[in-house]
Amino acid sequence: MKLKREPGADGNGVVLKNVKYFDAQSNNGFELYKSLEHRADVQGHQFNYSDRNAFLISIDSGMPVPGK
Amino acid sequence: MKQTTKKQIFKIGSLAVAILLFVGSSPNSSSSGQARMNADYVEACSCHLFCPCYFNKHAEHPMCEFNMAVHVRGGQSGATNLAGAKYWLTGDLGDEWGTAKKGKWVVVSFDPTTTKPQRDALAPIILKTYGLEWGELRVQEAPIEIKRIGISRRLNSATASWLT
Repeated sequence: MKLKREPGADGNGVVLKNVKYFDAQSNNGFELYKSLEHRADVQGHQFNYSDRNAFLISIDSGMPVPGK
Repeated sequence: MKQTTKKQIFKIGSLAVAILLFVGSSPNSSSSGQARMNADYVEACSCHLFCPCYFNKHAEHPMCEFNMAVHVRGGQSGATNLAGAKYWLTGDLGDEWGTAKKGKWVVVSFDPTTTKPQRDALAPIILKTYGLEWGELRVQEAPIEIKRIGISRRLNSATASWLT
């Protein structure tokens, strides 16, 4: 993957807040990027894209430990 | 004789308290009974910006082919410290993830520096985070490198990630 940040109206980037990231408990917001290169060749699967959706995000995730 | 028994009971009692205190204060114990992690994701997919999967039950196309490079900043599962672990998810959510909770395929790649206890602890957290039943799930090992390029987090900033 090689990504480029979306500048936004003021050049400081775009951050999407208050959107759930799958079943993660919380996140700090989606920092929006676009892909310059986005490809894979793994375990018999291949794809290759550019100029598509991308983002950076920090998440908190967890689950009960069995037997606790 | 009675005095001796009392002393013995006191000694046993002291030992039991000491063990309880030791177990309670062990840094490896998970007092909350939770495995937890805080992780930084670099993610891209086949949808155009912004991926509709986060607001709808279907992707833009009948697939959502993705790469996710993940660096675990902190976390604990039982005695296992998860900080510093790295993994990479490559896959396709397919067309039923939003309606039937079924993903098409996913390959989980662990960086060689991620220990076996970390991998064992992270695997269920990863699966729980997405909550999908995968049609194909494979695990492998591969070096992962995540770099931020650019003079600032502003306009010229780019993030490149490689799985080799």
